[in-house]
Amino acid sequence: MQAHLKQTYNYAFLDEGSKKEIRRTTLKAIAIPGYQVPFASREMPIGRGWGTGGLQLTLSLIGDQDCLKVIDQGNDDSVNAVSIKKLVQSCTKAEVTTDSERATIIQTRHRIPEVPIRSDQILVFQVPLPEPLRMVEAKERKTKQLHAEMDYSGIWLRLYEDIVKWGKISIGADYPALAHKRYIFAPSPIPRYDLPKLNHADGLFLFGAGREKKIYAIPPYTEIEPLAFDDYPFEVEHFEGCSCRLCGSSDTFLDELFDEKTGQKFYQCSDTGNCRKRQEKRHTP
Amino acid sequence: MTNAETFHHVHDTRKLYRHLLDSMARPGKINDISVLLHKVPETCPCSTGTYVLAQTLLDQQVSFYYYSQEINADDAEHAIEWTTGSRHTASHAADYLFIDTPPEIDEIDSIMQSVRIGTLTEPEKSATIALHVRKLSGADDLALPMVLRGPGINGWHILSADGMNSEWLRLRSERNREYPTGCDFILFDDDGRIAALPRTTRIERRDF
Amino acid sequence: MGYVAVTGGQKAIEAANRLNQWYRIKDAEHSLETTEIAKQLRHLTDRVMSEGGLYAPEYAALAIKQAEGDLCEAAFLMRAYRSTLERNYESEVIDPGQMRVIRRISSAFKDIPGGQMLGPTMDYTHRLLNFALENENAQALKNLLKEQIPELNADQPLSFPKVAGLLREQGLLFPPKSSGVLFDITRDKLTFPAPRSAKLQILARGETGAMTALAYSSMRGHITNHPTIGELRVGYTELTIAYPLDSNESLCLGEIMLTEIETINAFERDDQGDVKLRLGYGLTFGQNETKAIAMAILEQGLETKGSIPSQDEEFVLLHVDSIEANGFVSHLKLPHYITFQSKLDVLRQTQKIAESEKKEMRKE
Repeated sequence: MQAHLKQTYNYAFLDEGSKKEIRRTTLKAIAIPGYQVPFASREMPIGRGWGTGGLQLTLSLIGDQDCLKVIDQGNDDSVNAVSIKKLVQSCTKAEVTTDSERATIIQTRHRIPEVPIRSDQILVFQVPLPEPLRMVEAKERKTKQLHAEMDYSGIWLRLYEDIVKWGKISIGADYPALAHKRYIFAPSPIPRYDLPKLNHADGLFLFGAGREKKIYAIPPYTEIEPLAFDDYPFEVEHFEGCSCRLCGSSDTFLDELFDEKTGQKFYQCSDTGNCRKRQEKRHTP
Repeated sequence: MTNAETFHHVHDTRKLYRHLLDSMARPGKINDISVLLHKVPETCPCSTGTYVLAQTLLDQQVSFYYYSQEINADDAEHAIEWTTGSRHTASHAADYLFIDTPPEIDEIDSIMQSVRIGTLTEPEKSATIALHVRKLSGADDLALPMVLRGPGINGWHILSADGMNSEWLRLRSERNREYPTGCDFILFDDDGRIAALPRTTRIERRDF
Repeated sequence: MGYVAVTGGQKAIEAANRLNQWYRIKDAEHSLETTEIAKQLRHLTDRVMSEGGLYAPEYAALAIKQAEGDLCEAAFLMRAYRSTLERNYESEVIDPGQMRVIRRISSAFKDIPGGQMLGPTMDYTHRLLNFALENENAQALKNLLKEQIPELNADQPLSFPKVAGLLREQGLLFPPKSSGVLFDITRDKLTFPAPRSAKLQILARGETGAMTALAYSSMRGHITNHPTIGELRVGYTELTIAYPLDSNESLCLGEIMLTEIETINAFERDDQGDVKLRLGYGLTFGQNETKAIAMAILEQGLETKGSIPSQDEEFVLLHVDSIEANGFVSHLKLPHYITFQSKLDVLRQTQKIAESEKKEMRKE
């Protein structure tokens, strides 16, 4: 006799016990900016490495009155962003939007929206590798000790070696920064262009690494300093002379693309939601 | 059978969490949870603020300490255990402390000298203390005025409280002196005002 | 080099999901019954339960059907489902010594009390494809059952004493090292050094292939660590919880199938100067013998100091989880053009620096 299989899902998918644990963890994370707080991290219906950390944060926050935007590489329409939105819509009645100014919660993979986050908004980052010291120390046990003792000589040495070898620091995205003069943290693979947005911001930034089981936070109005030397200051990506083919902007982060027909290189805003709004503004008298 | 007026363990805990999160991210900012407090059952033996915080934060994974000089303090402690699954424990071992009535100075000393502040390796293994005060205000018009600076605060912010002994602040600054170790505070009154003081907040007394 | 932005994402996903469904059924003559999977593909179901960490054969069968036989996807479905379940009770401790055994052998001893009971195993089958199975109809099934039903021996004892018990009585075994604290890997994040209960849990639901490879590497490279199987037993154990209203009473929830392995390793000297044997321990849901043996080898390796990769706690424990490993490896399929763009920028700047350095050198 076949047993009848049980299928019940709680509001926002996670059971209340899981939400409570994430919430407790998040509150402690805010009290210790940049410090990676461990949490149990539930398996989600999307793959580990595909945003389960960010998703757990969003699901612990979201209610029917919220408006959610999800982006991947700045794009609302990326398949992964769409997939995450569908999941949230299947277990809540929250609205979704592509307009970053209408959202109350924005979940992002690898970019910060161009329009600054307001104090009534929360930006949730999907983080693949939360440990900035992993590039110089493979063992979790050791990196935990290094953070405790604020022994960051290893990563500074690595940056110095970069300058000796290449003439500049060779880290592209996911550039390490110091939070509240105490913890070096990994801002997730956002471009360097986005990193200054975390410094003394109006909004709250939450970081979730599901597979690695860590949550960390950058509160508003917190000092965030990208690691650099006085004579080799922090540099963002260069877009001199480039502008977006669609909206014309030259002050946003641009994706490099190739025209299918002509093979010519051109540029387009990575933040598609913002680009669309700029285009609309251009076309309205 | 759900009554729209009763405290909902899914939606209302979430709402409280959002206010608490905002308060912790913006120390001293007073959030309004009065709507949630009105949903607490009248027979509740502890303060309404303690009730909603306990429902939101506690379960079998964490422990709590409850302090009150009221006659029904034991009932309140049992009610919290029974409705959340959390266990009560001594103040030096608790993850969450609920101080429902203002203790004497020696009691405050006893609690604060041994409250958990975490370690350098695990600063998160520290207590959160929820203090029930008589009143909170965003101006300096109450008995204990504070000027707050630090992460979450744009420049500086004023918070004042009635029914909160300055001894809490004195011992807080002592126990929290070696960041990242420290403990975090939540303040709330019966009218639905809630504010938070994470360990990163620097507090100056503003005495007039 | 650029990466074309993905547009029409919503439509693309919906189309992909429909295609996925279509591929599952396009060549089917009838829909697979999940009972068939549960009953006739039991090793598959056992493995999915074991890696998913959820004992629920019908759910595992459904997961296998939904995943079209993709083991990793099926285990993932189980884990994700398990994630949503409320946890209300903890079972009482199970004593595998009380197991209702269907198979029980020992390699360390020629004979053991109760005897060597081979039970259902493929170990001694000849690996020749049996083409008769292609046309196995209902009648053939009936005939097979009639011929193959073993003579029932009503006097056969259902449980057997543990071989380890005999060794213990003779003072030959160290007791297992215990941290005394029951860690729950689904509730607390693992820290290192890991408590023993955490190690055992991670291995018990680890990915079979990963664990077998690591155990193999340790056996091949280091003959001194060659263990012997003291006992392998497969069978059913009762699952009980304390009665909620009276903890002196128990409630029985049913039976689960477990595979338990105890290996005997090299002898050791402890701090008191005693010299004894230590057991390696492996336990899995269902009949998953190779994984359980691999677990015992890895478990024992982690309890002893050594420098080979399979004795590196972080290396072993962090990389044997199917859901995590598959998730992260496959996440490379997600767009990474921002990180790539950023890297290109650094490369171009670095090239400029290299160019100007060359020019400087040519001037000199």
